[in-house]
Amino acid sequence: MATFRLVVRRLLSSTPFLFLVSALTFVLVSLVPGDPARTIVGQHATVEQYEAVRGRLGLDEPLPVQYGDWLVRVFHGDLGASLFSGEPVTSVLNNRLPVSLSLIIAGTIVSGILGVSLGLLSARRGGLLVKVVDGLALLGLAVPAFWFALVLIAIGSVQLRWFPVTGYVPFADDPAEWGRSLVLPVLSLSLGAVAIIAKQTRDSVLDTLGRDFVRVMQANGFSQLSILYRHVLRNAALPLVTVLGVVLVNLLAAAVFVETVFAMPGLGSLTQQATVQHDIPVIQGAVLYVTVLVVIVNLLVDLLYSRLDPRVRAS
Amino acid sequence: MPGNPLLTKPMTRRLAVLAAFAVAAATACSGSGSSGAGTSGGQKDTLTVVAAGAPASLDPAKANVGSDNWFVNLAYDTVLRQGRNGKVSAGLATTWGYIGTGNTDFEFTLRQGLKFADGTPLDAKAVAASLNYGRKNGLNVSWTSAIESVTATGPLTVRIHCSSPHPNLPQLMTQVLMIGSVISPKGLASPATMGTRSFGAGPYVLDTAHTASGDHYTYTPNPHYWDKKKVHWKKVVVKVVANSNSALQAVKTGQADAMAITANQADTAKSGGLKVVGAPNIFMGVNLADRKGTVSKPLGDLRVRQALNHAVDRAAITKAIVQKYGQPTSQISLPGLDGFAADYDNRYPYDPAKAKKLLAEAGYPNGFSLKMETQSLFGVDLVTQAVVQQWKQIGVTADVTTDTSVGQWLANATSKKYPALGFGYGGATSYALSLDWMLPHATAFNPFATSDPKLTRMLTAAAAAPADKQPALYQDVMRYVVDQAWLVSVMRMDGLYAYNAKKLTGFTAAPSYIPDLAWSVAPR
Repeated sequence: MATFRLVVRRLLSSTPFLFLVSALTFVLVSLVPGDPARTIVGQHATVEQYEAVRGRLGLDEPLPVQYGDWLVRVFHGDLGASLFSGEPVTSVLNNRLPVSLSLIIAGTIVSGILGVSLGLLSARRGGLLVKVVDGLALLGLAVPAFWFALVLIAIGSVQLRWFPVTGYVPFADDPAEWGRSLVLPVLSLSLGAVAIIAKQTRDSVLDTLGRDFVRVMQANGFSQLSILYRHVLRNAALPLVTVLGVVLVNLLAAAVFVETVFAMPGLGSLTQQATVQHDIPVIQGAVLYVTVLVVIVNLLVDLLYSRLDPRVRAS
Repeated sequence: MPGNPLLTKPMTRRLAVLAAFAVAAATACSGSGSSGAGTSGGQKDTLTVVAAGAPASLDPAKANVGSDNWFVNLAYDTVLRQGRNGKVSAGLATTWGYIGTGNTDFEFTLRQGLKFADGTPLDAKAVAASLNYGRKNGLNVSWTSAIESVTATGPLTVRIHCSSPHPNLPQLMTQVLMIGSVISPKGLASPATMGTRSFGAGPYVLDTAHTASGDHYTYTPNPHYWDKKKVHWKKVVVKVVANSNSALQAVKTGQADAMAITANQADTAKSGGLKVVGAPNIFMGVNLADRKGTVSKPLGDLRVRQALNHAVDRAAITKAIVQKYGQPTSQISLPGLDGFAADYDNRYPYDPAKAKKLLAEAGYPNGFSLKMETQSLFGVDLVTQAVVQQWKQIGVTADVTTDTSVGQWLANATSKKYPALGFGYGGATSYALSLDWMLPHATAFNPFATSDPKLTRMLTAAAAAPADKQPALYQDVMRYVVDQAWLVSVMRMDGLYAYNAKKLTGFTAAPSYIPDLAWSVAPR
């Protein structure tokens, strides 16, 4: 029941956030010079033709009216249609969502497993490995994912020819090809996150290992593995969960560039393309989807917190 | 930092196994089959080409000429066909021509027994309905603005009547300009669906089940196509890859077969074993749009506009930006097109001293400042910046706004706030050029609707002239416009393509032509 209350409370508190983000996006897109009607009519159009298209798209209405119309449609479950292809935005986004989710979830799993493993190793070994993890963390923060992507393409696709340079194969079409098409994009996304998670893991584990309860358990003869897995890791996991949540949200942003470099039909490349075209309904829909994903991630982090820490449950 | 005793060696091994599992799970590199959009380029009976952007629409009337032809031409046959030599030949129609004098009435006759891909008959009535839809709803309405009516005058005969002379109706009906793309009555009955489906009579049909809008577009053979010999592929995939480096790597590694490239990619493509072909196709320069001096008074003086031309070292800019893949020029017509005046490529030799003298004569010995707009697409901004740098030596400074999308550029270009505009413009016939640049109505290339009665008279005479007289008249038009220094054309740049010559044949480039995937590109 407490969990249910937490979920409801979090979802309710997110609603104004969704409004704010959608309104802000609408204003920002509208501030960019040019409009979709210009792009649609092209360079050979007359002024009359341009004005006619503006009228048809409702772009001649004041901004608050345009936003209000969009909001009313959203409440009816209709995100509108792409100004260019005419496809329903919901259908466009639903087709793209699995690609981005595959990329981001795989990226989080890979960076989580590798990061935690590396962090535990460096906590145990210390010395050079600590410096390597710190160096990698700095590199991961400084070097953008798309640069990693270009390097990986040069090695994995051009030199070794193991993986495709571009494209995405749906899991249902061919699971093996799906895996192959994800390898380089996932690695591009993960490299930065691995180092950050490793550094966080090492610091948290070392901090927990220094606490009194660990020494007491050692003195009482608990096995080393039991102490590590059942107690140290559990305590160290709290800050780690927060970092994983942040990493996942960061991966959403980095996916825009990675999807573009690898020409993957995900939400990121769609948003990039829609922004260039000023396809406002698609941009609004994509931002809404991503915002909802962020809300879900934050909710999962909260739920994991309450699962890992009884004090959070009690509060 | 010492290691913690809690983490023992067995623990290290477990972690190593865990890490190895993660890498294995991530890489999942077993299997090297080729299926799906990502890997179809290696198949012999599949043609995979890369496009830099998604089409504006799959509706031929709303697609962009140049960037969207590959998407449209595969599924939509056209009334006539343009070859790489620029000659117009038979398409769906076998005979065609102007009726009488004055280039206002044009008639063509269709082949017998034609069908759309959906199996319905393709006759004169259907073609007339399609052409009427295109001229009323199309993007390039200025090209068709002279057309007053399109009517079926017989079961297979269609007549186009224009209110004023239109000398380019045959070119308009070809796959290059796409106006002659014939849409089935089913498509016309449901225009909203034409953006994502095909309703044509081309050699292929769009396979919507294997198409992801904005990502890849798959085409399969049309069972009703009138000439089966032209259907060379079991599948054609047009894959959208916005990142040009990734696109080139995809072609180099055999994932795709062909793409358009930029000049700075040509050497990389060649070193990767690809064949590079190109032909003059795009002009770049600065449009001195405010020819009456409405916003920038100095530009209203012919001597100032000519000075701005003489101040530009075209050869140096061309070499620096496109190396050997372009030629310096002062005009905006291509060799082989009707308005090309060979003697006007070097109408304004680089001569800063003369430029300064002209400025002084016009009353601007110390130069002047002006606002400019340009766009970052296709490297137009590079040419603009180079021109601006060279103008500085005669005291002319420019405050340049660079737009990052076509929509932004169009909005600013037509705002009348910018007296000079960086431009990139695909090679076109003189009649099409005149509609965009020379006639007194507002367009993105003539935003101030500059009117020059003498020029308008010259254009009217040329448009109504018999075909054999048109080139000389249009060359005079081009000379006049360049003499009036309406623009600072800097270079004509090659449209370049890289393709896998071991797999493809018939992939050719020519001025004002796009490699013809639908008919000409075939397996080697």
